[in-house]
Amino acid sequence: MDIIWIVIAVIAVLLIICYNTLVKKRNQVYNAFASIDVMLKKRFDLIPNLVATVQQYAKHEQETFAKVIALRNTQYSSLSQEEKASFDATFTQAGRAFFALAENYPELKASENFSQLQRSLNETEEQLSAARRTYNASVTDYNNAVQVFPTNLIAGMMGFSQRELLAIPEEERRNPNIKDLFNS
Amino acid sequence: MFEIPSFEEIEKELLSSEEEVEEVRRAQMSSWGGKSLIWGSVIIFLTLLVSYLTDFFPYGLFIGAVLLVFVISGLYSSCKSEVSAVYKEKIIGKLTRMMLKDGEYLPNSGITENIFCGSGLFVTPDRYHAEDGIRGHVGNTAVNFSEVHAEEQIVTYDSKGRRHEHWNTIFRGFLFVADFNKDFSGRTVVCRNSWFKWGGNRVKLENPDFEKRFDVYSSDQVEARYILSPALMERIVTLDEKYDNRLLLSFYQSSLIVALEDSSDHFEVSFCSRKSNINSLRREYDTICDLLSIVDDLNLNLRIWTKE
Repeated sequence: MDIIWIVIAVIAVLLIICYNTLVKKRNQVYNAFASIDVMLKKRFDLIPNLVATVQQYAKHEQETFAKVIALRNTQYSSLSQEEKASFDATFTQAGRAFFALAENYPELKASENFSQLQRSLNETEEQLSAARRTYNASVTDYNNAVQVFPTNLIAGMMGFSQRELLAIPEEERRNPNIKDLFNS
Repeated sequence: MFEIPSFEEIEKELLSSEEEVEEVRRAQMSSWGGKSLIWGSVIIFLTLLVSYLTDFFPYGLFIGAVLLVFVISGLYSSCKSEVSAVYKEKIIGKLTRMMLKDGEYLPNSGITENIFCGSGLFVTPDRYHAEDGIRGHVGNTAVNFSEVHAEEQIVTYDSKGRRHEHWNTIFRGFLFVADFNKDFSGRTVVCRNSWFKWGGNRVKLENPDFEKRFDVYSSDQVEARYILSPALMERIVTLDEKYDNRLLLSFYQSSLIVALEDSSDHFEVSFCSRKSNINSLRREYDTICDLLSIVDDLNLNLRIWTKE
């Protein structure tokens, strides 16, 4: 009789350990996702600088940056998840256009503002890329736990489902390089 | 643009200094010979005299021989240190100034124990010694490196309860510190891959070759990946191959710390032969070149982020 109780106790402890492991890994995924949001906010904070620089040195090109300019007076916290995703794509395009623009506007290229902004953009992009890689590492870790025995049994019972990895653009897989940025 | 001169240029430039060192070496050699002869004669005479007078012959001879070795080796060290001081100032000092922008050589100091411990690569030592500090710039990157010998004291007790102490080397070699091109606040440690993975601070990275060689631990997962970009991981793998898989790295206080094990004693003069000193110049030149090439190998002069 005692043996049965010991077996039940061992199984209960194992179940608790598996459940806690899954919860911890899922929380890591949430945490990693939150850090992407922090980096996107940092990137969002560069909009006033970007807009001011374009307006100062390349007034005729404002149309190229219309979508970004429209976001200038918006609060990041007021954006929905879809708007944030859209901002991500918009800003990536605007960033590339900004560097390409510098080729046609020597004054812009030579300005201190441009140099500072370029450095800030590079840094933010690299940090954002790191946040995405962290998210993907956390998701991989979590998905492994959801799929392997014995945690997959608990995952199935408690509704822990697999998560999608973020697709990391090819240009984020390597270090930013000034020449590449100008050629884009 | 500052470029490292070729060895031939350096050799030519240091020719007069080398001759100055050689003069001092010869003078100290003859001084050591003379002093040894005088002190040796005195000790032998006194030993024989005391042994004869006190009927203490076998023990007296033994004590005399020990005293003789002690005095001659003491004189040797004293004369060698005179030559060493001149060698370090005239040869290594000049070599440093020629090879690094704003180069400076500090023979009696080096990377501090705080940095050694702060790197997180090693346990805290009980005895720490750093010498032959070299600092300067490679392009925009400030570098600072030195020889380091860190030891820990091991205390054991035998079956009779007697205490035994011995010193165990934690690290002996070069500690190379370079200003990293990105700002960061935490600590990321890149140590050799081992079966035992400690704690939840481990950072799993995407590069399989890098993961096979190293285990990475960091106080901040995102920051670790910000530092260890895919391109930098590739470069670290290549650098590790170059250094026969002995590389240890730490990213701490916005600096990169590289630990390279090396059991030989660098930047030291040979007291007995001029030829050895000429050969060692080539060796020290190559050592410094190898260490400075870390900056280019890891592309630390790429300054496209907010840290200038």
